[in-house]
Amino acid sequence: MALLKIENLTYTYPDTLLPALENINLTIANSEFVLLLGNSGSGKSTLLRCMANIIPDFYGGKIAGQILIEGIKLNNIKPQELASQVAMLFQEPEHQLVKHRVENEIAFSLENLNIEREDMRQRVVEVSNALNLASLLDNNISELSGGVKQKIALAAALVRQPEILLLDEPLSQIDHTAAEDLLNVIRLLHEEFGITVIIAEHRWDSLLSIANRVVFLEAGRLAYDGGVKDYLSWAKTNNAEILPTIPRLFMAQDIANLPINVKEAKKTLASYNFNKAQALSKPSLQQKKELSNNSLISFNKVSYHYPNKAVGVKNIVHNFNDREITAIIGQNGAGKTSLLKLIAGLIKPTKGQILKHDQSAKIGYIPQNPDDYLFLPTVIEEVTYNLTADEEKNKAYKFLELFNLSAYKNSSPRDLSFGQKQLVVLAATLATKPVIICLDEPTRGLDYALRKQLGEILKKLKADGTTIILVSNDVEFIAEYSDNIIIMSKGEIITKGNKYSVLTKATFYAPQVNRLFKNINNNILTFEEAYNFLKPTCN
Amino acid sequence: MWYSYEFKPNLFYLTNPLVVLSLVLGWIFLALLFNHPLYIVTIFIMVNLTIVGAGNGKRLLVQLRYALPFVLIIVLINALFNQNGSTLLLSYNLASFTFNIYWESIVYGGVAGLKLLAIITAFTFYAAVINPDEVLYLARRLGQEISLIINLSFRLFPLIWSDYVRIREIQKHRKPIELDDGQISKIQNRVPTLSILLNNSLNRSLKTAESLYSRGYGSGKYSTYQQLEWRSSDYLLMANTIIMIALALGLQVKGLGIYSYYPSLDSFSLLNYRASLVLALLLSFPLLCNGSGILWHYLK
Repeated sequence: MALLKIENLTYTYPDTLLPALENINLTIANSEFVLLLGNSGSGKSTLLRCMANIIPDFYGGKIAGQILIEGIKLNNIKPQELASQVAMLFQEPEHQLVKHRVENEIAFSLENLNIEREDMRQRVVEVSNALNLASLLDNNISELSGGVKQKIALAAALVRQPEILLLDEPLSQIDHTAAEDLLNVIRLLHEEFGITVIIAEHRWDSLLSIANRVVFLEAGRLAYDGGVKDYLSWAKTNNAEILPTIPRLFMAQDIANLPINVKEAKKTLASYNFNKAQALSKPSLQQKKELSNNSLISFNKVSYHYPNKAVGVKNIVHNFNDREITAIIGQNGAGKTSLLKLIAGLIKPTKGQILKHDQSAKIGYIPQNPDDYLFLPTVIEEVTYNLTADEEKNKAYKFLELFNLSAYKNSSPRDLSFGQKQLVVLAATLATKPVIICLDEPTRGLDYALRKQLGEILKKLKADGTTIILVSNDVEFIAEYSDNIIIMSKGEIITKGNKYSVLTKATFYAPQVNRLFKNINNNILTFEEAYNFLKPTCN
Repeated sequence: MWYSYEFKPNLFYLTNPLVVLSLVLGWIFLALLFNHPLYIVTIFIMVNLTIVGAGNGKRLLVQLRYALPFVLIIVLINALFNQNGSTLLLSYNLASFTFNIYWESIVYGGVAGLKLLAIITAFTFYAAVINPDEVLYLARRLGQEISLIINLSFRLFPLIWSDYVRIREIQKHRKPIELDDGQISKIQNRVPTLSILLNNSLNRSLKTAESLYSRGYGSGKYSTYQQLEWRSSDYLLMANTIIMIALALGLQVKGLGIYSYYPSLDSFSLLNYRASLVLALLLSFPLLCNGSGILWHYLK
């Protein structure tokens, strides 16, 4: 019997006319790992919420068709029973946690199910050991990082011993390292415990090797349902979306059997013969690279301490030059955001000096969460905020056109998708004509298409003379678009330099294409370089 | 962070939350019951000393810094508009109005301000000492919805504060305050921050409610993970609170808690001083227990 069966499901949100989901039919067997894909607004989150009965019970709206779990209709299952069978993990770790102590948060899920105290203790200990949270049980949740909070939310879901785990973009709001850690846990749960996993995620390259099925939604309809490799070919034929780097690279060379990860791709490469000249060649882009020496901002032994005396950054000495894209990377708490805020002037150094060589040069700051920036009723008002001259306003309108936002100019910015909001913030920042733009984790929560769009915009801005400084742990993006890298740890700069000098030496900060060609040609960092390198051999 | 709960190894943090809640409600009751300046000053001092004794002096200072302007406003308004006193300190004309500032109205405003401060600091103690998780256990007996509201309020305050700091930084950068900006411009400058804060908070509440729903909250019978124990010290502190309230009621019935500010200030009787001393002893009992370490023996 199917574990989960969806029959002719159509759902319309309250106060809307068009259905968010239309005639969905899906059967999911026990122990499947389903990757739920689709562009923004395609209905992925809505479908997951239907499976957990949050829709329509919590949201209301009109629903037709039915969902069955082990043959029983979802609305015939008591809420407590359903909560023990189906667990859901949401995007924002902060929004899912209600308790103060880690242990109480995990146990809270069981209290709601009226589980005996002794039983609760056993389950809490087991799950916290399995997820490496045992040492944190007495900790205050608010003091933990986003990644650990998401792991606690996962523990609170797993402690219910669910048969189905629904994950709604659980990796999108946490950093790269924490995402890898969480992914390993999810992989273990599926492989060792046979939990059925249904996951929607914008950045799904790491999930390709775990998933055994892909479901693709397009405008609320089921467009594809099948195997992972077949999906890649289908996506190419149907131009459905931009694929992750590794399959895209081989697809561009017209190779039929597409690898889904670095391991498989290396196997494919093993059958190729690369000549010596190729192995020693340096990509043309790298050869052309000429870095500017015109310093815009100089940091002279700058330190920053938070009001509670915690170290933000320590003894920073660095020049930020014009017309460059500099990426700052490092683990949580490394001081990346503090450094970015110091550059933008949001905070002042507690020690040392920051020298801005052109005092009139404007610095734009784009925060991690666009909701912290946008407050006006319409997009156009946001973009023209603080502008007085008509000429300036006209220029601002052009940014809306450039970012394909003209159609939304009279819409409320808070109603747009996350990626669109990011673009509105970028447009509003650019309208003030900044010489330097600081971006904090700009690719977080963006799908491959939006990441590419953002990257191309940054490249164009650089070509037009803007200096860009970004904080990110998205190594694929950084390798593709930045010129310089700064690696930070414990508030200090550990290493810095041209991206080729920093990333080609790296292991965990190396992008996929670099890992792929390791020991063949270590100089490859971007998709274009990899494509040009592979092309003669494939031809 | 000064505004969030952080365990400290002292008696108050180990006390049953119901006992702490009773103590705090006792303080508030006393502050509301009396209008005698001697008792109000006693209550204010003892509550503040207890907060310091519980290791939250810094938190108290921050709270007082925010609350003091309100007290000054109370004193000022009362001094300006209450004309019932007899000891004239100052008199001035503004347009066709004559303002007389009386000593009695300043004292009355000051005592009213101290009452308010005592109540605010009582809440400071409560927020500092009570583990929000334990509040949820207590409140759940009153109903799942009430407990949820209480718990989320506790949790949201620190989150809202850190949101405010972050959003304010961004909005100040977006539209910096100019040196020649007047007070109205400065206030207007905060509107975007507050608007975003409100929107984000509503959004967070909705998401949290959704997550709780998916975890089966409020869907039926529930069990409790944590068992709230009653130690010997809890019984002693509870008894002390009951005695304190009984004494306060007794003083009020005997007329010793009543004080007249107008037209001239009453004088303090010897009984007032004695009652104030007893009140101070009762109010200091938790602090003495904490300091002496006698009750640690029972706790261990």
